[in-house]
Amino acid sequence: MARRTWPSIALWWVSPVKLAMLATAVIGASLLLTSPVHGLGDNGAFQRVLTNNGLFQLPGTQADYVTARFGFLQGYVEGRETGLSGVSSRHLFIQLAILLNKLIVSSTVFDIRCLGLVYLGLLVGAVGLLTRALTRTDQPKRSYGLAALIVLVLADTTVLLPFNSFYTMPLLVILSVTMVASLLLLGRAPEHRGRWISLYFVSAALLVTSQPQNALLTLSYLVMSLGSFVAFRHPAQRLGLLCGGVGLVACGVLMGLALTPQQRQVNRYQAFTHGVLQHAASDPSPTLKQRGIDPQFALMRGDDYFSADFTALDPASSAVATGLTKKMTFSWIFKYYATHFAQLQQLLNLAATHMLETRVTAVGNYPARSGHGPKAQVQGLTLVSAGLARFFPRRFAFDLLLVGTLLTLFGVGAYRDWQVRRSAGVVRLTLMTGCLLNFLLIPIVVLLRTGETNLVQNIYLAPISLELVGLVLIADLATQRFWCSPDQPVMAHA
Amino acid sequence: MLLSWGYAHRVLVAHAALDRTQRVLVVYDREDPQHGGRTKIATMQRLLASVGVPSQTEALAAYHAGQLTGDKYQGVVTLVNTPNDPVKNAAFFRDRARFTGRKLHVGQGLSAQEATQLNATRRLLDHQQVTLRAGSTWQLLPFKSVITLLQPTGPQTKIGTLRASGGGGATYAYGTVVDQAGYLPELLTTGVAMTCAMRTVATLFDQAADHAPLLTITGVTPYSDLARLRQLSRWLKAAGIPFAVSTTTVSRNTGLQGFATFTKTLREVETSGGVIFLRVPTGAVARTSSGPALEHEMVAQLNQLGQRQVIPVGLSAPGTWNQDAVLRSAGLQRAQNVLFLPDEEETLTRHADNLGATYGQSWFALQLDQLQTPQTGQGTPTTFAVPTAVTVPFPQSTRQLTAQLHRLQDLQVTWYAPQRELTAELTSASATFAYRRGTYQLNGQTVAVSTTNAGIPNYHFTRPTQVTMQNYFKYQGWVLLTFFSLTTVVLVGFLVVGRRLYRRKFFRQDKQ
Repeated sequence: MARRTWPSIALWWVSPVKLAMLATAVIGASLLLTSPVHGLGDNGAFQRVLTNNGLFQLPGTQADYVTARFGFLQGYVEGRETGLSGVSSRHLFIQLAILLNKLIVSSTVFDIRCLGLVYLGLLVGAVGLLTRALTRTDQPKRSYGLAALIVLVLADTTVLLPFNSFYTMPLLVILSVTMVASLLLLGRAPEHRGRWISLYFVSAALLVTSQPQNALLTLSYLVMSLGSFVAFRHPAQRLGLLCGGVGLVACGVLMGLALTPQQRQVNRYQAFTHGVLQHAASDPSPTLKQRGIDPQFALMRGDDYFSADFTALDPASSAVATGLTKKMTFSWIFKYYATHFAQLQQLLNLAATHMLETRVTAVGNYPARSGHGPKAQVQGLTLVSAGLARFFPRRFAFDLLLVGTLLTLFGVGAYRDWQVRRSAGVVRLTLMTGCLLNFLLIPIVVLLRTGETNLVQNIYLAPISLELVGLVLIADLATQRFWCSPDQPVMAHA
Repeated sequence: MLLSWGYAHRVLVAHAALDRTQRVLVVYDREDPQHGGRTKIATMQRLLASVGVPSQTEALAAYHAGQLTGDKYQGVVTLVNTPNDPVKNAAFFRDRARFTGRKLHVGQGLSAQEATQLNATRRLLDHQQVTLRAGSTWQLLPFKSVITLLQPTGPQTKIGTLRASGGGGATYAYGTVVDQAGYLPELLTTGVAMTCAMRTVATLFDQAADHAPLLTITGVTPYSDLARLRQLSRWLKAAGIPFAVSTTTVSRNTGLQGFATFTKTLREVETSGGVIFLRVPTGAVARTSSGPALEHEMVAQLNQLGQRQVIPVGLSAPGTWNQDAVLRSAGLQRAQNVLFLPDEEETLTRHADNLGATYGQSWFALQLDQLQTPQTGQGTPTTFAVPTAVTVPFPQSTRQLTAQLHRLQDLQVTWYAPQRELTAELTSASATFAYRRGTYQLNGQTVAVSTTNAGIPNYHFTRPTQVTMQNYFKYQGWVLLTFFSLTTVVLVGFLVVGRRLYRRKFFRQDKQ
């Protein structure tokens, strides 16, 4: 009988999966559920979400501080959007939090920590899945190390802080982790494959429908799921996959339609003032004139739609709509950048300097009158986020190179698995391709859609995607599954 | 064509000394925004500013006993918006009865005691269509179920004549002033009724005069069609019509071509007999520290314009700006001439205190469209009791421009000529802008305005900093990309060659 070493004792007591879940829960609860509330302040985006969920902001709240409590609107809610506009999957989670709030806290005041608790519960589950997918029971030492690493990355303060807010960021993290974990498990375990692929498609659908901006990400998520065609050989199963893909596309189209005219106007305005007009090599006026826009509009360079400053012309006025935003179509912007590629490069490099930043510094993390100044930031556990934000190279060209290199490396594993008819490597390759596609596509799409406005917040999914790729890379190297998957099942036969 | 006015006894030209320190208390019963009550309150506030008296506005429910009994106020205005649903506050009515300053009652609910002070008895007209006449202008008043009018019992100053459709030829005064007391049966913000209200308030404060209106083009921004603005000013110059333009401007991006075009257009306005009123900026989101931000913005805007010989003679702002402590002190109080526009639907407030201040000259803006509707008759009053800016929105198309021009040409109005009458001063942090009857001055020096910019175009030039290897850092990413790509290709090549060698070595042995 083998001597009982500490890992085996630990394994018997608490497995790496349970350890990661427990650690995430403890760290998350100590940050999110304590008083004073830690979270993110409102940059103006809460209003619509609140109204659509029958909540309202108590007066006197601003971006500088976190708001912990909200009131319930009574009776008919003016301004609640109907039909497609304002559709977002995050309303499901907010409604769940409201239900929880009414059950355990109060039926008159909504405490934001209920929402934090809902998100935290989901994150703990997702972390558990990911740890299960990345660790190996026959390598306990390394598995514990990996579990710790996963906790460091995903229970990072900057990842947890948005949980106590009405932004979309928590959903982006939770669902991305779930999707990566479910596809990895699908490739690596022969059992429960139907369950994993269902989980993947449900998560992808929820993520795509969380905000209109994500409509285009449907592409990456389709790419991600391509590998599962290797795992499923039966025609009926493949038809199911196809249905899932079609459903995903439908979600994307739905979100494309869900964009309200006002949101579209905001996006176009800021794509112009924070994109087209920024970092131009020379005065942009002649180009504008040439392309049918009054060159006077160049004077709007750097203006926000929801401005905290004073402006010469209200961005919501009809003069702006007819003179500018009606002409500022996606094709106009696309054609503009196609002929001003150097400017797009400048903008992309600017995005690249924030590429691994997950901390939103524009809003405060503490409530007012809690002894912290306006826009004060929580420090906490920020080893990974602060390190990456500081040391990650800040060139878009590097990002391209990195993506190329990583794909080559994962490609080797996929090729070798393919030769011995094992699915894990192939599934992993398409999964990583999807993640890396996100990493490259998001900055480009965001710059074309909204310019540099709220850049860190808008490209939030890009750093998360890359961090997940990094986790998979490190874990597979550590558990000797990177170059091939020796003990994994062979592909299913038709 | 000079229109004679329908007020009876005296033509007031000489002004009594005006008290600019004591406020006039405006007390309203309800805001009643559904029926334009808020507009009436704002109009009364603008009117008092134009007359030159500081005001304080409060709701009747907020009035507390003793406010009027001291000598804190020089006058009180009772503004009744909802006569059918009166607000009870006995203290106010008691204090008002004892008050010895100027009193104005606007709307229904005139008490018998107030009527006695007005040398009249009350007369209720119900369900009648009433026509208002002043000189040759007339207006059909909106139908009201009940209107309280005055049957005179002694001498009164009457402004405007009301005639009821079924009254058998009986006429009543619209505005009435007797010594320290005044009465308006209703405050209508359009047409002849508005001009009569202006005269009533001015007469009550002994400030009524005959002012020629200032033609003002409103709604100009740096993003307006500037070619059309040039065309408009050229045409007005040719027609000999002096005018003012109310425009916003930007404080940033002034190095761009757009700002040069904009200021060139404004200089052309200045050389065509126009003056510029700088329209205060709009802001969407209120924030606590907006006082310094506004101060900074205004100074930057004025300095950028001043450098390019665009010298505003005053500021134009929604009336609400005068009722807000922050907007007043950081925005308006730098100007001697302030033009108060009617409030837009959504006007931001930062720290509303409802204390209206006075300025050297406050212009009361009145839309030309509101003077000339089927309900307000055909004649246009050529003189106004208070300094008045008759506003015309900036035309949105060439067709509108032509129509506008024809309309202005057909008006038989002698417009106020700033070149002959206006002196104005405006200060930013470091500069003083002045206008002395056609001459522009910057810090006391006369400025010659011509179509080309003679000033220093840009203070904020940036010198490119010379850094060694700057170009390398600029292309660093691409250099690295190329380098690593080449390396990768070479390595992949080696890998392929190595694998081939490896296979050749082992597989051949297997076959043997």
